[in-house]
Order: sequence, then structure tokens, then C-alpha cells
Amino acid sequence: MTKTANRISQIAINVFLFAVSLSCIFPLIWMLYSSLKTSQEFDLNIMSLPSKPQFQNYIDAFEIGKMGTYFWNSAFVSLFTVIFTILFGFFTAYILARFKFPFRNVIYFMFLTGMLIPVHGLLIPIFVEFKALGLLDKRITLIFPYVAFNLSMAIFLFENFIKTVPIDVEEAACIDGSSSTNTVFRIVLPLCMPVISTSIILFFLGAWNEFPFALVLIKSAELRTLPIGLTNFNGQYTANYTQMLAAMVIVVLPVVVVYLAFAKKVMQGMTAGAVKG
Amino acid sequence: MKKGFKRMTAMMLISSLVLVATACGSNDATEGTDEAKATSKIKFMHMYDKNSSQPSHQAELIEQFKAANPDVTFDEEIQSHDNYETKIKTLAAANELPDVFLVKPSMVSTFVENGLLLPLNDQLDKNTAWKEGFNEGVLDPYTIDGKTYGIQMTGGPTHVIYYNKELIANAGFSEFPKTWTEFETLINKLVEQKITPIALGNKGKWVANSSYMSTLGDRFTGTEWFTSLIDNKGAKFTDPEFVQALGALKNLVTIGAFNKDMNSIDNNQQRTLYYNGKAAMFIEGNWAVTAIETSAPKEIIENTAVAVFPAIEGAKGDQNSVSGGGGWAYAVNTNIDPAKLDNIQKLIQSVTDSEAAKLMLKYGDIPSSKVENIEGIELTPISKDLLKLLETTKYSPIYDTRLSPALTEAMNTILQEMMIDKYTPEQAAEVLQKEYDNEMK
Amino acid sequence: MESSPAMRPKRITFLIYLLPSVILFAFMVLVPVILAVRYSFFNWSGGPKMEFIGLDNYMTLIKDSYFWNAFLKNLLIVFFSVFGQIGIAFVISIFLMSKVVKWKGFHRTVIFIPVVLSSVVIGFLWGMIFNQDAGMLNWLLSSVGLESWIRPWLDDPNIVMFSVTVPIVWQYIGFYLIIFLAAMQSINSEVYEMAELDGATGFKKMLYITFPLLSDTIKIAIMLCIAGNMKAFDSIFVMTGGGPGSSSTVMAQYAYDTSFKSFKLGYGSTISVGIMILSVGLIVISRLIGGKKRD
Repeated sequence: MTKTANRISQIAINVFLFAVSLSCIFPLIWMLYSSLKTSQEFDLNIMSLPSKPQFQNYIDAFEIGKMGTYFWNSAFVSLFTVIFTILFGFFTAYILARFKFPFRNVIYFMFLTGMLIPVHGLLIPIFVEFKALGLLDKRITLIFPYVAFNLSMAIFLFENFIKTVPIDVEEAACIDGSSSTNTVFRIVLPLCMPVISTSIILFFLGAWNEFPFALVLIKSAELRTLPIGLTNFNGQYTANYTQMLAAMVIVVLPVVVVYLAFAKKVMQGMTAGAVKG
Repeated sequence: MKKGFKRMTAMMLISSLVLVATACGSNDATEGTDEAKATSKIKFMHMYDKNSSQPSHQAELIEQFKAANPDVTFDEEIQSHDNYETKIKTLAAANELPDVFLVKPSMVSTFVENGLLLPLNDQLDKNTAWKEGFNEGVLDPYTIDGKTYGIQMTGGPTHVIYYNKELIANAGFSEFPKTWTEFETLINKLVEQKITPIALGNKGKWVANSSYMSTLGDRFTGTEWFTSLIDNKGAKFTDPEFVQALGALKNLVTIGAFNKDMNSIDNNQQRTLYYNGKAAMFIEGNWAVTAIETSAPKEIIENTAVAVFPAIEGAKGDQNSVSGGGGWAYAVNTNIDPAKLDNIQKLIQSVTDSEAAKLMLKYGDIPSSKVENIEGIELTPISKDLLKLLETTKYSPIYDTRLSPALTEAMNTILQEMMIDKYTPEQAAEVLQKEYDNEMK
Repeated sequence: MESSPAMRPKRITFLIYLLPSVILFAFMVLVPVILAVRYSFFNWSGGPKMEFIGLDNYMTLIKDSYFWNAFLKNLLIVFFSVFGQIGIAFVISIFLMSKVVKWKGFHRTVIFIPVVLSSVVIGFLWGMIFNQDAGMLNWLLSSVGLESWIRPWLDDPNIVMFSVTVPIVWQYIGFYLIIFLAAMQSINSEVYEMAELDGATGFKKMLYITFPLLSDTIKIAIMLCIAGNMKAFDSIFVMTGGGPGSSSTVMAQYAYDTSFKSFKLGYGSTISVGIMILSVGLIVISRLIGGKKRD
């Protein structure tokens, strides 16, 4: 009896997981094939397959939405956001996790509150500040707020992780004469691989998808990022859904690719962390 | 032992170097031009992208101006409509408006209160042919105490009923109903035939206000009521005439005039319902003409005719009124460098005058400036119908462009809440009146 | 977990580690927040004209039923997210640690995909799913003979909040799944041996053993969940625009509408400050309920 019960529960579990996975991947597949339909086909039936693939939608998306330029701008901003967030986040988190010093808790709490701030409430103050600092509409403009707002999460993740790493190894290294910096780089940083891989994905997609700051702080068309480009397909009184879907695919595909490229690393990193931890 | 520290400092240094280098790089790209030249550029922010999938007359006219005036240089920022609104409000708040930009009538009073806009009377006076070429009253929504702060290019109606002749005929109406009672009968007939009478996409919340309530309200209350309301001279939302108008809108919902998902689809999707032949009518501004002609199936285009709300028996206002006449208009920053003003005047004139108006007509839009011998211009059938229809109507104010932004926002939401049965018309009027009192005190 | 003095870096190194983040954060986050708090004491419609009105905006906020209704909607999202996102992710992570599940790598990879999509894309996709006439959900229901279940998912004020919460829950299951899987991998191998026991009893044991061991991780997940959902806005806005009426207007949208549509910038800032205060409050409460503090 238990055997059949087990068998049934096994099947049920597998079916359940497949249903969940399917729900996660189907929208992506739907976007891909719908972006190849004509506008009228799409209006008539949103589920049907395209009768003849319309690659014109993609050509239009690149021309109208200037997705080419925006693509590189997004890549640039996202790349540097990731690098600086991880660099700053890791070092700060290390200090916060390992040492006692005045205002330690104040600083930690300050960073954490960053996660609670609704960014739309800060658009005007940030604009005023950037104007005063002369930082509006530059290639590097967006990196500042992106890194700062991601820092909260980065410090939170790193700090929690470093705390779970036993301190003995570091201490042994120090007693053996390794400098503190050396210890941080050689011992602590490699141990944080799982957090770093997760961070790369999280912060990359955060910067890649960010909208309100990109709208307010950037003026020149040649510096705009993809999320702003997406809105070019939605006019005041008109919208072309298949073109918009093509543009969305252009926006979504790179992040999915970056993710798939790192997905294995994330898993490997986790196991590595687990073995050493 | 030193290795680690070196590596870290190196990493930090390299990163900051890259950052500084790119910062300089972008400086060269965007600000490297001659300082004097940069300041003489006209900072121009608008929403007409010449590469857009829906080409606009304004984009074409702006390009024409640039080609004809190569010595006038621009520092342009083009945003799509929704983004434009967010951005212009941020810039206004930070007192960083560009030289020339677009405003809606509802922004004018707030902007003027904050001293952000330049009166354009002197510019208008420079060329009387231009000034007098405007249709009567089109600049009124942008005028405060005799000073005109905005110059609009188009002023079509925000209320036009686009209907499918065949579906209406099937319901027993060989022509569009002449009275409100007949109109309601038509709707009942269509409901019986399982056809959505009116496709409505009110997700953006402005459609019910702009394309329905502004006209319906005026029919019941008359225009003086609205004037008195915005001037705070005694009219109230709770006045029985306005409550009746709310009731008329609500009754349309009750008798099943609209599709059930009217609040989760937008105005683009409402047209889709109509294109598919699932709905007999939809109501939107004149801008939908171009959309129908470019996106609807051929048999739908051929079957489409235009109308406005029929006369309402016993209602107090003019029964041929249609909300319209106000929209985006060009405005100028009050801190403008006077040296730029001449070129700016030339620019605005060239995109709004009667010459420009001809192009607008070709695009199926209704220009603010008068055009002589319209017959000579090639028009699409629906545009022609619409122009003919408009000869018999007169404009009344568009609520959501004349009321303050805060009141408009409140009204949009309250109308939708009334349409989902959260409020009765009386309650809706009371809530609106409360918002109004708050604002006026 | 206090370190020995031997490990303490030189003062200068210490500052190099700490200061860049602190300075950047101060300039990019704290200064704007302080400016926003300042605006919240003004009657301001944009531009140079600002009128100081003290606490008036806050008095209005306390009595503003739209704001408190919006707050309740956020609470609903938080509630469903804590049980939906964290609960489902936890269950799936236990399944994925066991032997009975096939294609583990596939599931792990695919369930995370929605996390990488932007809210705009999520909102657009689910708008299509929920669409009354042409939507995938109603299409699915009618093709399996459940026509009676068909609803105007985004138009019925009584169910719209549930409809818009589903995509939010769905989107972030993968995120918490990764966090749990990472934490579980670092648990000692004894637990893995439990998982070797196939079948239902194995899962039960796994649940009883893993749950307490992961309690710290779960607390963190709950905190992240509250923080994220108190400012939820984008995907809902794309699906419903906050409607019908204000049925799906959450706090962040109310703040945005007040500032950018109604042009009440002072009061809009007040609402934003209110959101922050309520978020901190909620997290403190969740910590108190969750028991002892971590530090």
C-alpha cells in the first residue's frame, strides 16, 4: 500500500513541478512566436501561431525604437552597476559582518532601509540633486543611483553569508602572517561565490529593467536605455502590439541569456559554498 | 602579504579610472561643442518622433521647419506621450523647463501660478495673419487674464461615435438615432442580438471623462455651468443637472452598453473589439480616424460612419454641443533668452498656421487654424464625414483639460468607481464636490 | 562571531572598505530622502512657489481613506506573497532536494526565468492572460469545460486584487527558491540522508528537520518579501492602471498619481514618507512575531 501511495505521490509531485515550470516558460515562448505575427492576426486571436513569420516587426523595432543604441547603453550601465555593486557591497559587508566599531548598527540599519524606499517618491529630489551636481544626462549618470539602490540588497546578502562562514580559517591565516587584505581576497571572497553569482544576475537585471530613473535623469536620445525604448511603441492614442512584443523580446532575451549563462555557475557556486561551509 | 593589498588597490584604481574616463568621454560627446553655439540652440521638448510607427503631422512640420531654417539649431528631447507627461512635470518642479515645450490646458494655470510660462501675445501680434487665422476661441483654454500662454495646433472633438452601419441596420436602425431614447433602444436591441453596443476601454481612466462625460455633462448643464464651476462662481457638481448627466452615463452601464472588461482594456483595445465586428460602436476623439484607416479591416472601414450623442429630451444645454477644442499646445519658458524669441516665434507659427493646417487635414486631424477651400484637399472618406458632421456642432469644454490636474485625476477615478457600482450618481457627485471644495478653499 | 584583533585591518584599509559605499549611499539615497521629507511639509505644485504648512499634509494623510485602502491592498499582497512565494518556494526546494523528482536542473533553471523579466513585460503578459474575451485563462477554462468559472478577472472590483497578486507571487517564486536551495545545500549531510528515503514519509521528515534549520533564512526571506511588496506598483499599473476605480491602487501608485497626475508634489512626498514608515513598522512587527532577533 505504501508503495503505491509513494508511487502516486511521486507522480503527483513531478506533475506539479512540470506545471509550475511550464507556467514559467510558456509566456516566453508565447512572446517569441506572437512577435512574428501581423497586427491583424494578433488582434483576431492571441493564441494562434503566425501564418507567416513577420521579421519585419524586428526590423521596425530596431528602427522605430532605436533598440540598437539603447541596447548598448543598457549593457554598459548594467555591466558597471554589477561590478561596482559587488565590489562596494562585498567590502562593506565584510567589515559589517566581522568587526565591531562605533555606529556599526546605525550604518547597517541605514543600508537596510534602502530596500524600503519607493523610488517614485524620490524622482524629483534626485533630479534636483543631479542638476546641482552637474551629473544629469551623462553616460555614467545612471550607474550612481543603480549602485546605491542595489547596495542595500548586496550588503544584506553578503553580510548574512559572511556571518555563516566560520571565522577560524581567517584567523588561522592571520596568525600565519597573512595581511588582512590578503585574507579578504584569498579566503573570504572565494567563499562568497554563491552570493556573487546570484548578485550578478539580480543586479544585472535590476539595472537592465530599471525605468523611472532612466526616464528622468537622461535626456539625450543617444544615452537612453531599453526600458525607455520600449515605451516608444505605445503612443498617446495608438499601440502596435506585435511590434511591441518584438521590442520586448529584444529586451528580454539578453537577460535570459545572461541568466542561462550564469545559472550553472549559480548552482555550482552553491555546492562549492556548501562543501566548504 | 603585500600582493593582496596591491591587487585590491589596483582593482579600485582601475574601476575608478574607467569611470572617470567614460565620464570624460561622454562630456566630449555631449558638451564638447562650442560653448556659444550650445547656448544659442533652442531647447525643444516634444513628443513627435519622425521615426514613429504612427507618423504625425507635427513631426513632419518640425522637420520641414528644420530643413527651411538650417541656421536655427535645436537641442531636442523627444519622449513618448506618457513619458512626456512625467518628464515635463519633473522639469517644471525643478524649475528646469526647456525653451519650447508642450502643455495641456490643465497644466497652464499651475504653471502660470508658479511663474513658469511666458505670455505669447507679443509673438502673436507680430503676425496678424497667423493670429487671426486661428478658429475663434481655440486659444481660450490657454489664456489667463488676457494673456495667452499656449498655442495649439489641433483642436478636434474628443467625442465622436464611430459606428458600424451594417450592425446598426441589423438592429433596425437605417440611420443613427436622433434622440437619446432611441439611442437607448438601439443599445437594447444590440444587447438582444448579443453584440457589444459600445466598445469601451477605460483602463487609462480618461476615456470616460474626456470622450463621454464632457459632452454628456454639457448637454445636461449647459456651458455656463462649467464656466461658473471653474471660476468658482457657485456651480456645484451636486447640481441636479450634473447628477442627471452622471445618471445617464451610469444608465448606459446598467443597460449593458459596454463590454464587461471595459476597465482593464485601454483605448487601443476598444478599437480592436470594433475592428473584429464584435462591437457596433466605439467612442473616442477625432484622432481615432487615422487609426481606423490604417489598422481596421477593409470591410469595417467601408462600413464605418460617424455621429455624436443624439439630442437628449428635456436637457438644458445645447443639444449639438461636442467636447473639443483643447489639446497639447506649444508654450515657452518664462526665462527664455530674448535673442531666441524670433526663431521660436517662427517655429511655432510654422507648425500651427493655416499652411500647416492643410497638412493636418491630410492626416485626418482637425487643425486650430482656418483653412480655405477645404474641397481642394484630398481627404479620406471618414475624415470628410467627420468634417461635415462638425459643421453642425459646436464645441464645449473638455473637462479633463480644463479642470485642475488634481480634480481631473479625482474625477477620472470617481467616474470609474461609479461605473462599477461603488457609487450612485448622487454619491459620486458628492465625493466630487468634496474634492472640489478642498481645492477651492 | 567576534573576530580577533589580529584580523583587524589597518585603519586606512578599514575606511577604504567602508567609505565608498557609505558616501555613495548617502548622496544617492539619503539626501533625496531628506529632500522628500522636506517637501512633505510644503504645499507645492511644482516650480519655485512653495508654501510651508507644517504637519498639515500628515494630518490629511491620517484621514485619507484612499491611502489607508491602498495600505490594506499592500497588506493583502504581502500576506499572499509570504505564504505564496515563500511557501511554494520552500515546498519546491524540498522536492528538488529529494530523489523522486526528475529533471531537477530543468526545473531549477526554468522557475527562475520570471524573475529576470521586467515588471512591464510581466504586466503586459498577464494582462493578456486575464483578458476577458481573448485571454489565455478564459480560453483554457472554456476548453476544459469550466465556462462557469470565467470571470472578468481584472474588472470585478471584488477579485481584481487577487488577480493582480497572482503574477507577483508567481514572478518571485524562483528568487526564494534559489535562496532556499542555497541554504539547504549548506546544511549538514545528515539531512541529505533523510532525503534518500523516498516517498511521503521522507518528505515529512525532511520538512520537520529542514524547517527549523532554515528558520533564519525564512526570516530573511520574509523581510525581503515585505520590503519588496510594500512598494509594489509597476506590474499592477500595467495590468489595470490601478482600477477599476481605485480597486487595485496600491500605496506607491497613489503616491505617484498624487505627485505626477494631480500635481500635489508636497502631499505626494508625504505619502512616500508614509510608505517608508509603514514598511519599517511592518518589518519590526514581523520580527517581534518571528521571535528572537538575529543579531
